[in-house]
Amino acid sequence: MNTHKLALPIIMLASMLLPASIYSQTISNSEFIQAQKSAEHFALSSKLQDVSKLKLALTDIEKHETRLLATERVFRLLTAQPPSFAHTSWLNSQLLSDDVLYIPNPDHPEQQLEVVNIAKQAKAVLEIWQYKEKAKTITEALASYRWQWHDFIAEQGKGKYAALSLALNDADEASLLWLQNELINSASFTQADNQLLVMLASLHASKALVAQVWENEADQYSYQLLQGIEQLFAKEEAIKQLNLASHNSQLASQAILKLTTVFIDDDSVQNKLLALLNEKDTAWHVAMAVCSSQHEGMIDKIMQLGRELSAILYVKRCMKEAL
Amino acid sequence: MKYLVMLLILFSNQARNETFTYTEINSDNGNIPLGYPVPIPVDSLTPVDGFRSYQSLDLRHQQLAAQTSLIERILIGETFNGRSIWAYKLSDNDEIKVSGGLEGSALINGGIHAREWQSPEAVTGYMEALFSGQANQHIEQYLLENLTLVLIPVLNIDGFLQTQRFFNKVTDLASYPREGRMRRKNMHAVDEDIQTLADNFHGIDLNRNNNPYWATNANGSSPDNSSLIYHGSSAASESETKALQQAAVVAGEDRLRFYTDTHSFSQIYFTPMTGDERRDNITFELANIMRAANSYKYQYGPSAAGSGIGSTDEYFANTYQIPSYTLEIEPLNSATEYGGFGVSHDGFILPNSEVNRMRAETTTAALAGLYAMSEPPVITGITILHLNEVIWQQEWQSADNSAELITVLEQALLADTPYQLQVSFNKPMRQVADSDVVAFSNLSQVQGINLYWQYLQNNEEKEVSITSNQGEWLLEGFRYYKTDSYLIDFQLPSDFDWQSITRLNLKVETTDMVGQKLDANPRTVADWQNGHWHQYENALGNVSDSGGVDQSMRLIDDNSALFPVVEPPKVESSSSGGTSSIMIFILCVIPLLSRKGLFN
Ligand SMILES: [Zn+2]
Repeated sequence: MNTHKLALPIIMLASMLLPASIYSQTISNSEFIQAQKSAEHFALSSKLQDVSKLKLALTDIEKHETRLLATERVFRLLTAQPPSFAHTSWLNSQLLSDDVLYIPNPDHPEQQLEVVNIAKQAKAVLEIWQYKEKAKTITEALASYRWQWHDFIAEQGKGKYAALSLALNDADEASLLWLQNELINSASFTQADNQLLVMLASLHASKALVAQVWENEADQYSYQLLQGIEQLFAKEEAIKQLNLASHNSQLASQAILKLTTVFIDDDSVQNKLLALLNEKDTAWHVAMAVCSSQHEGMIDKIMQLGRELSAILYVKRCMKEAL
Repeated sequence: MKYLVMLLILFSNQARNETFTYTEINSDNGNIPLGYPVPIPVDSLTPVDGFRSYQSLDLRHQQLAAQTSLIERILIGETFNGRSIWAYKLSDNDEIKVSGGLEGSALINGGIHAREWQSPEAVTGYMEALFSGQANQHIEQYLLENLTLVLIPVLNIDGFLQTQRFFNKVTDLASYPREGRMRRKNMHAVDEDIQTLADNFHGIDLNRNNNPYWATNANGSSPDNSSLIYHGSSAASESETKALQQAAVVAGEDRLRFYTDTHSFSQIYFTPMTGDERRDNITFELANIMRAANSYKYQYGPSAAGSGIGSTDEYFANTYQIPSYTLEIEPLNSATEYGGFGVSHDGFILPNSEVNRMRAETTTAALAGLYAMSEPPVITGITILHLNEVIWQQEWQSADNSAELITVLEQALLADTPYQLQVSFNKPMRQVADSDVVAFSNLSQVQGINLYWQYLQNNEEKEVSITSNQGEWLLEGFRYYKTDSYLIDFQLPSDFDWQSITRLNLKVETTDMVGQKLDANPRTVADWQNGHWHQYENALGNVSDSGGVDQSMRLIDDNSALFPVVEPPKVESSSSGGTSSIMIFILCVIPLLSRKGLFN
């Protein structure tokens, strides 16, 4: 038996099997960076409208990793425009793509880190298009002041927030105010979750909406809102809101830190902090906040405190060290 | 020509100055939408749904330390930019375990890689759990009283602050971001401005800066200071690396028996083998325990002995011959696991909404591992009651590394008489949730104990099972900790006759909460030495790392040998020897590689 005669069919067989193994590819970091650079050299933005031209241009890219990165870039550009039927059907067909690019995981080089995944990216683009489509209907509804908060709150799924947020980014102040008032005056107000309240309040400061967030159980949205409260309100109102937030046990330490780092020069804030230093649940939060501030105006007031909670002793000791 | 190419590459590097902004959904030019809210560092002392700023984490650690003598804040060094690096020693003030013998020590490092925000939150979570459970008479209190734990919540403070400063900004490539939120390395010779591209890629990968495999692997680390895995100018060249080594001194190097470096992501326990078979097997078993804590959703990734990349887990495994891990916290692959868009590197940005759960899960796993390494379980004493009156009490009293069986109270036992037996151990033996004893994964069950009386009566060996009844692990009336004692009713059979018995002992088959069998010879106190357990005997009285059945509690002693078959000491390892550990290695690596697509 001549082994050379066998070699060709084996190679052919192997090459038939090969495409399947090419989809998931691992390349070195430097190859990846090179591919990224060459991917940016292809003039694809001019072809975005025409899917068949786009596909052709991508197929013409010889190197697999460059093609994947160029495809990813095209996807990113496509999110900026409304899709045609051809666009959506192309993206839908990409949901089944096996094209994935890995580089070595820096933490453990024998393990792989996924850097491009065409199916995942296609799904993201389709989602963004859906949100934008939905945002368009919301914008239209708002233009004619047609809006039922009850319906929005009852609607399931996370897409509604994304769409509303996109729509409100382009909304004028009058529509925003109208929407906020509709919510505040509706029976559904107390059912509005923090995600909605924070979204509305962040676009246009509203005392009522923000105060409702502190009333609700804290979640990621409350913390993020509180973190930027001084950008939302002028000093006096911000302090008022922080005082309110300090009564929510999950938000208390954050409110106290904010009062101390931003507003401690204010007399009313100093007195509030002293009051909270005398409360068991907040004493240690105030102690840490005031210690780290080393605010001179607080030293005398702290030293005069009588009640010897351990947190008060701690803060006295650390303020003394500053003297 | 070569120079020209290099120059061109260099030039194109300089010319490109693209900064991207992470957003939730906005996909305008220059944005990278994640599909979930971009976490903003929050200044909060108490845990939040999300990530705390470094400043507030640091204050939180001080706050906990200020409120208890069980947590001590210790300076271990400083960062490149001169910031103090703090370690926290969590332990009671003596160095002795409640059952006698010296405490072991453990070290857990966090925040070595700046962008891996999961890590400082997880390590802070361990501290918060131990603080709030300090008097709970269960695992947390047990750990504080029987182990010296040293935590470093954030090692690479300079880098961590840089990622928090630019919490939504990255540069330079969208699919391969390196600076801003995605900084990994320390800030050695790097300014804090992400617009100055020249130095953006600089800094040292602190997890490549370590002996014994520093700069030995061209694929695993790099001599190029712009590489993501630049190993630095020499082993331990970085002050952060020196601080980590100092933390081992704080923990007590000769007592050290556990190390974990906490990273994210990919949901796996990486660990280097050292070639010490017993240490390697214990390392495998211990990883299993920590994985069991979260239903094995974390994977296991051992790497072969004899080579490495300069990581800290290699340093601790090889310097101290202790179980040593690189824990990569979730997600497994990317944030698509939480409904995100799956953009490159989004695994480093755990959604805010997952952080509380992640903190709780990593805490359960870490505490289980520490609990396992504190000491093997051993019987400490029995009490027998009749009509609520103690009629028999016997205890192992230990001093240093040996113990003596002392009979405090004795009275003959009678046939067909209702008694209660309480057996006590050196540690809490079961998991407790909502005031109920519960199983701990598949490692221990609600009961999970077999008790027998064995006796020699008229030269005839007899064995009577006690646990045909059901007893209970005590949540009240225990010795030191909830579930350290088991209480059960029993009666001796009609033909039991105290007078004609020449030997009577209890036989105890059980495990601790994480499935470790009993130290079968309480006379010699088990401890960790030289990469394995010392004096942790199996049922035959032989050297082991996995223990066995205890028959040491003799009520009537004929002074016969406790372990009748005297064999030359031989190692019985917890799984079964060298070939099996290789098999385990292969079996673990295959699914790992195939999952990552290498075999596709
Ligand atoms: Zn890492």
